[in-house]
Amino acid sequence: MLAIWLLISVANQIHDGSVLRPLHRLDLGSLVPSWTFFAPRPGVTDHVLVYRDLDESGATTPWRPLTSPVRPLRAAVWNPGKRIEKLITDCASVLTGPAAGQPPVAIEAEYLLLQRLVENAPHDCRAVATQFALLDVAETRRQPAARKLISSPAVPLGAPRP
Amino acid sequence: MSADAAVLVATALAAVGSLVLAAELIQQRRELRAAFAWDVLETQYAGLLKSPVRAGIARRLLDGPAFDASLALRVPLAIAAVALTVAGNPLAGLTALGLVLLNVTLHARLLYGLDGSDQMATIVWAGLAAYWLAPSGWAQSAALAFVGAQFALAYITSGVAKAISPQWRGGEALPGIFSSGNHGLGAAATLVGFRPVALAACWVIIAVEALGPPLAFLHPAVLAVFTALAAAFHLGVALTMGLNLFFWSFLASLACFVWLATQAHGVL
Repeated sequence: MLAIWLLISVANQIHDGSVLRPLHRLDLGSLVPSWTFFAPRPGVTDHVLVYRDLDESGATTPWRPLTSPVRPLRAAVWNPGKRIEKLITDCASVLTGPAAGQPPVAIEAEYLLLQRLVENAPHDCRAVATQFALLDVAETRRQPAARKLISSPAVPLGAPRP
Repeated sequence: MSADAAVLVATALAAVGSLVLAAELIQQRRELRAAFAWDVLETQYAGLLKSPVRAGIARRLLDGPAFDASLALRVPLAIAAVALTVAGNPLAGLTALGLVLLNVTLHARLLYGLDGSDQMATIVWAGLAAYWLAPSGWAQSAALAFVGAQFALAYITSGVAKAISPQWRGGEALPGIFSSGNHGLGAAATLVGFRPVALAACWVIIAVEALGPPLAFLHPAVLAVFTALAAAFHLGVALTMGLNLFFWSFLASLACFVWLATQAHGVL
């Protein structure tokens, strides 16, 4: 069984896993790895989820990031926040990747996950709705330059969830 | 390195990684449950959409106290794996198998937000489980070889993927990565801001990843140098990129690779 696992792992390294792509949905435990790590196209930008709140008059708060844009040094040992940062990156990759619809459809699971992240974030006490945007930020640690990938319409706060 | 030593080192390193993972998941359990909303993620499973009964069972198992308990269960299992391995007790295989199942469950629950360190941890625990549960010495060797081969595959694939990348060959990859917020560090970005340093660092990484594992099979001295470089590399990745769990799972698999290469030295 381990030999088959290894052979499938080898096959999955070819052409970025395209050989086994039809089988990827069956790999619920993510047992088949893709070991390319930051190659051939290294991830040199950050996907940043920002949001702002709207009150009844339609006035908006400034945009603010959902997670800290810069990782602390202690993350070398203790980095619990990486799961949610990776969730944002994974969702961004699906919503803006080659297979994504134009514009991204708001019923995609990845879009709904981003919306849920924002709904669960701290909000202004007068907020009746919120709005989010997904940014691609280059040179975060030098001279940040942001490009908007997705923006949502106003999402009512406290509305029943689908 | 003997098989016993490789198993002990791999178990100890993988156990520390599992403990850190458990602590991170437990500390973030409320945030994770809210972010990885199960009522959204369950729509990814066609089987659950068709059967309300199965959906109910899945929800109870994956989105409630049972899931929180599964996070905490890693702690006794990881500690028991080390204790039983030290004692040479084959029950260590069951604890390793338990950790494999917990990792698979975690992937099935979260679907997103996981990375190669989680996959390598699953591979290491699966290999260790197979080692202890194997019916013969030959099968035990095959189990360790599986983990060592996955380590070599990871390095060679990553090295080749970088070698065909213009950004890596041209030395632009590391300055770009280190200037990002998620995987960067100010001091590292400054260091690789000097083009000769960046170019040299990119090519050293390409060479060590692509050529290190095959060359390590040729001679014990090369294996020793490669082992030191790989350990330093993963320490550097943790420090500069915040990928803390890669250190534990990849060094655990490195122990099995060292055993595998040592066997080859006796043959070649």
